[in-house]
Amino acid sequence: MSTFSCPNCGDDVTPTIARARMVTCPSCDSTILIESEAVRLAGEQGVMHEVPMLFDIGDTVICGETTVTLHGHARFSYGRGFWEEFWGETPSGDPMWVSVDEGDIVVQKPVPARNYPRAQGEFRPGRELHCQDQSFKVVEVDSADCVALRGSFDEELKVGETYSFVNAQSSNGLLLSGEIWEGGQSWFLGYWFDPFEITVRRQA
Amino acid sequence: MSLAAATTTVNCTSCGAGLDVLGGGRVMVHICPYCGAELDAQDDYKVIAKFDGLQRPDSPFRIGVAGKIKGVDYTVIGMLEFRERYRGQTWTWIDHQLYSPTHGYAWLTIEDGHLVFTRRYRRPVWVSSAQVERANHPPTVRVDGDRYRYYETSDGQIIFAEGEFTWAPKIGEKTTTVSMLTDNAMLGFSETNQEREVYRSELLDSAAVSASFGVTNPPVPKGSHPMQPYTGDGNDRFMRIVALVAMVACFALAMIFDTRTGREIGTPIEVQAAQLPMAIPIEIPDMPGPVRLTLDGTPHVTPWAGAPNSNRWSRIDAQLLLADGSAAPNGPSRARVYVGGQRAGQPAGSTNHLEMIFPSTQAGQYQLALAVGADGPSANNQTPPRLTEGSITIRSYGDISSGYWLYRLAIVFLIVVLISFARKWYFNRNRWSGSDWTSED
Repeated sequence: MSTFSCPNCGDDVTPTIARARMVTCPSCDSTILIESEAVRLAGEQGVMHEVPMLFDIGDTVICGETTVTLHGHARFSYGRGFWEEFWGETPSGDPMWVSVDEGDIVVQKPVPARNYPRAQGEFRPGRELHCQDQSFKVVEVDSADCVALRGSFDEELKVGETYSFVNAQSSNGLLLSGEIWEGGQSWFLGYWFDPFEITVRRQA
Repeated sequence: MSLAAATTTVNCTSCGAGLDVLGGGRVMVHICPYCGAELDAQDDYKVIAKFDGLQRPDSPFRIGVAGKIKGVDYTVIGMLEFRERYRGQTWTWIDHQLYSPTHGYAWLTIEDGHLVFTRRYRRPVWVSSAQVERANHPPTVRVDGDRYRYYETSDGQIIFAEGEFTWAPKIGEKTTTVSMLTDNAMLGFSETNQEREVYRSELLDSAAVSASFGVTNPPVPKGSHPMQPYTGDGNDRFMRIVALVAMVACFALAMIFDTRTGREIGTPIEVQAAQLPMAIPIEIPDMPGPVRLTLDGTPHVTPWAGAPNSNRWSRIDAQLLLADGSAAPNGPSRARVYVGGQRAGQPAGSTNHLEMIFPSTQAGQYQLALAVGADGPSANNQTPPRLTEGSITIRSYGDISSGYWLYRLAIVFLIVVLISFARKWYFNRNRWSGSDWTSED
């Protein structure tokens, strides 16, 4: 889908990528869901307070052998503070999430639904999970609220919604992260990166 | 995570003092510098412990000061002092918890006046103190292309804490850390009762970092630090490479020079052994470069009847004289050449050949006095009769070259290279002298 009018303010909205399912309006406080041939208002995009960041939407981040161009920025709050999640694509078009958590960077790609960990019951630190022939140990279980959105995403996110998440670490350094909500889940797999090791190509 | 923008100060829930909140969203506790209360930053700053009577260490990096490390802005948000006692010795060091809004948390440590920068290392690598105990050789790990070798195990005990931390330090708590050293970095494998973490440390430019943090009395480094890389005198590596190249070049040139045997001058003079003793006039021509005079004795002569199965020989002593018959000051002191001594059909041996080198400054007329010095082999207490066969051929060569001095120059360069390596070896020996590894039989 190319440029369309914002259902709230009527201004032009242009998703930065063709596969975007959700975009924020640059002129008003709306998030817009793109559904086949139509668009509809999905909610508010929240207030993204200015804070020092390593990179931003439009930048290309090179972490090891992974290159990701960032299209969407979501901020999640856990009360005392917040962390940043950037959605982007690799040069070959694969979706990636780049998380920034107090200087620790995680680059993860979605796990296909058929490979989700088969886990029943409550997640708790120390519990073992299996995913894609790897064993992981749960290191963190918490929840966070989405407080602000900007840019384009390939999935629907809602400001104000609470997301439960679980992080599990493998012995070879892989990080498995899961988002769990009523009736659904998403899992992501990737590596930690040191901010001193990454390269950022700024948006021209 | 970043700290919620609105939160900048809180009041200590124990003593009411105003506390600056500097440390971002991952801060777990805030230890009040006024009353020593440890406050739970994740739960309304409730008091969870109280540390009384602590003596603040003397650090120029006070909580709240900010500066740049490796181009990144950091603020000091907490300070810990550690002490370790081992076999009657005591070590102390000060750790400063740092925070950067973009690069997260780190540590700035003052060790013997050196500044060390430490960050969490998330590579899948681990070495425990138990592994070290069991090892027969110093354990090593290879990660990111660097090879780290076991250096020491320390049991640091916290003796002072104030400010903000991403964990909850307790006075008296001990942390066991296994340290592994590579050329310019150290990995620390830390283990407490609750968790295990890996950290990577680097040595900082103390003066530059101190200046960046506005520290007017920077710590003064004492001695060298194990992480201090070997730099020599700055040009050490360059000198080593140049000396190595020069040494190889000298050896190669010397060998080339040695192969240039020169051009024969005039006609050879052949002197029969039976004619000795006699003095032969020799002219050393005045020409550029040295002249080589060679004397070659006949390799084989017929054995005498007393020792028919032995190689007969005669030793001919040569003395260089000036034209007036006096001894030449530049003549060799003990020159001799043999006639005979080799088996029939065999080439001449080294004893059948004698060389004298005349620099161009020594050109002129000489006499070469040749006399039979000894004959052999003797048999039944009888010496062999005078030789009736065999000869000595005298030749002169010009346009010669010699690798003699180049060989010596190559040795000088070799010594330079060896000294350079020795200095590096000595530096590394000192660098590892602080290691607590002992090999047990």
